[in-house]
Amino acid sequence: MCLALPCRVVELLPGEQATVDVDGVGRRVSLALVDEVAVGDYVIVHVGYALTRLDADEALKTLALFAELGQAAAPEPPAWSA
Amino acid sequence: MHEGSLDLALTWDGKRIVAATVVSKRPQVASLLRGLPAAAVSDRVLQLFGICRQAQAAAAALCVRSARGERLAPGALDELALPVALETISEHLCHLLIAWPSLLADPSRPPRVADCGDWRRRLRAAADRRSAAAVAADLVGWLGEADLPSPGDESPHGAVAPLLPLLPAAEWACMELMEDFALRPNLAGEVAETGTLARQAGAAAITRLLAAGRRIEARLRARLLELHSLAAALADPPRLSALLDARPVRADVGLARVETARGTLLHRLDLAGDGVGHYLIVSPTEWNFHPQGPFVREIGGCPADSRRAARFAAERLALSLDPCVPFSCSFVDA
Repeated sequence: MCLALPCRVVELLPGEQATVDVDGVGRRVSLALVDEVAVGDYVIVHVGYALTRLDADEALKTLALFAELGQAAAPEPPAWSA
Repeated sequence: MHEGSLDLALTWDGKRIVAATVVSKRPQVASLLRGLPAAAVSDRVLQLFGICRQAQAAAAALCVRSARGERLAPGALDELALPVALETISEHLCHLLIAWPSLLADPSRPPRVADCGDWRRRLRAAADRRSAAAVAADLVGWLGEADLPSPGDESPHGAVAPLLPLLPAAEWACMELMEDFALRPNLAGEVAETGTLARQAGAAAITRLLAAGRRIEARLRARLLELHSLAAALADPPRLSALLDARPVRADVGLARVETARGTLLHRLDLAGDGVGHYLIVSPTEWNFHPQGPFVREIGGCPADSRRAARFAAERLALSLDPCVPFSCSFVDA
C-alpha cells in the first residue's frame, strides 16, 4: 500500500510467513524482506510482503492518526469510465 | 481507514477486451497535512507513506523550503537525492525480482525473494555515499549475470498514451495545479504516462522495443536500464540531483518535483503563516491509472480468447505500469 498503515503480527508461520491483523482481518504475508520480527510487532505491508518493521510506539501513533482522520482521508471514490 | 486499491473492470466480448473502467480507491492524504506547522510536514509525510516514503519526504522538505523562499546550499539537493536513489533501486529490485516472477508464475523462474531481501539489506546498511556506491557497483555486476524476467509475447495494442516529458519544477510551477489535478492529472489537457519508460524512452534499446510494439517489455527493460544508471550515479553525486528540484510558485507557495520509482511525484504547499494552508500531492499512479490514461487506452482492443487470457493481459499491463497500491480485475460482459 502507498500508505504506511501498520499491521500487527499475530502469528509467525513456517517459511518466513506470518499472519498480520489488518483492520481485524487476518492476512498472510511474507517476512522475507524484514529482519527479526516477533509476534506483537508492527510491520508495513505492500502486496503481500512486509517491508518495514516499526516499533510499537511509532505504530500506535500512526494508527491513531489514521483512525482520527480516516474519514476525511478516504472519501467515497468516484467511478471513472473509459 | 482502508489501505487503498485500484479496481480494474474489464469489458470482454469473448474475443477481446473492448473497454475498461478504473475505480481508484487511493486515499488522498494531503488533507491530513493541513494546519500542521510547516516544520513538521516532512516528518508527518514519512509517517504517512509506506512506499516511496523517502521520495515523499524529500518532496515535502523541498516544498517547504521553496514556499519559504529559502535557497538551497550547494550540495543540498545531492544530500536529499541519495535516500531517494537508494529507495528507487530497492523498489526496482522488488519489481524485477518478485513482482514479475509472481505474475508470470513460471516454475523455472520463481520469485527471487531471498536475493531481493539480501540486496535491500545491503543497500540499507550502506552508511554513506561511498559505501552505497560500492554496494550498487556489486549490484550492477550481479544484475549482468542475473536471469531476469521476460514478459512474454505481446499482442498489437491499440491507442497508447504519450509519455510525460521530464519537466523541471520551474515548469510545473507555472501551471495552476488545482485539487482536481491530484485525482486526474494531465499536461495541457493531455493524459500521459509517467515512470521508467517515459524517463528512458530516448535509449536506443527502448526506442527499438517501442517501434516493434513491445511496450510492456520496453517498460521492463527501461527499469533495468534505470537501475544501472542510478547505481552508476551513486558514485557521481551531481548526477543524482536531476532526481529532484523545487521552485517557488509565488510568495508563500512552493512546488517540488521528485522522480520516484513509479514516476514523477509533485508536491505543492500553500503556507498560511508558518503552517500548512493547503497541500497537494500528485502521485504517479494517478497519471498511469487515469480514467483516460495509459492503462485504459492500452488495454482497449487487446485480444483475449478466454477470461483467463483477458485477466492475464490486464494484470500484466497493470504491473508494467506499477501502481503504488494493490489492484484487482473484474469482468463486465459486453
